[in-house]
Amino acid sequence: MATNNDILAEADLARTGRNFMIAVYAAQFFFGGWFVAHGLNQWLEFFPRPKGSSPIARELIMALNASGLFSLVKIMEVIGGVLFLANRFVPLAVILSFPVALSIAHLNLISNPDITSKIVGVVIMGLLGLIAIGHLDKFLPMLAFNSGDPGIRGLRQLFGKK
Amino acid sequence: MRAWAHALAIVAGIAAPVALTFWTTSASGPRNAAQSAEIAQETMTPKQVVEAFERLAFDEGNPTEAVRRYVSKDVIDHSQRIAGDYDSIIELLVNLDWTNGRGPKRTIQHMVAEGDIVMVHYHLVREPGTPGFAAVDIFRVQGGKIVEHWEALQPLPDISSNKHGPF
Repeated sequence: MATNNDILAEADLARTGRNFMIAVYAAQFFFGGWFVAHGLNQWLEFFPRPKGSSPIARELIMALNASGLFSLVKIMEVIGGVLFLANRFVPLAVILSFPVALSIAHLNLISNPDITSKIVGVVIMGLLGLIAIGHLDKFLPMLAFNSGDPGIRGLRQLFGKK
Repeated sequence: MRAWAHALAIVAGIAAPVALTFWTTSASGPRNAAQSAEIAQETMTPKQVVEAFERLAFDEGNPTEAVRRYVSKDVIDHSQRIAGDYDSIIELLVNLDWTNGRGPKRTIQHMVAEGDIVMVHYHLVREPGTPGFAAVDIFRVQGGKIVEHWEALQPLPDISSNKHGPF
């Protein structure tokens, strides 16, 4: 039989869980809106496109633009952002957004000297990390030390077969 | 998540980062246009800096602004006509008569850049109707600013036996 203490502890856990869920949702929608707006800004220019706040950052962004890779990055940003906002395929959106967010964080933390960029670098990884932790249960199978033999089980499951 | 909460979250999710970006890139924000222009200058090559300085100072007749924008406060100037610091450069240029397009006329003949050094070979005419000078300016540029300057001026004679001319 559950004691009063057990019930209180469970209620406390539920409240903490609910607060954590709200925090993750807040991070997810902020991150999603950020990625969609800045992704689309590549073509629609709602606001000045970031040019980097150091010579090396500028050269890197110019090289990404000249090679066309920046457009690909921005397409990934938009797709990831839309998935976060739609609240669909969120673990996939975390995976999709990770290399983009890591590149943005690296550029802002290492190449840009100004304090705003440092904040952006920390915040972007913090938000994505929080979303990833919120969906950690979906990533746990990836953390298997011994991954076993490869097979077609995944493909069969994807198409609804046992 | 309920539909109304989801819709509200989407709107807030887009509005918050967009508002933040508009603020950071506004005139009062930490990523304003002035800061952006300063960074753009830092990425210019030494030759681009000197070209921009020459254009603003001599083509557009705004030497004070050209010095303010493209010359370091810690500049070392080896010109023997001035004391050699930032203020003395400003003083020299301001005291020249730049009104009504009367500033010195510089016709650049060659411009060579290597590393942080830019050399400009040009024809300088201070007084209209005079032969002027064959001149060389050498600039050292760092971080988008001129940090050191040397000059050599050769007065041109009215008549010369040289059949090739000075340029």
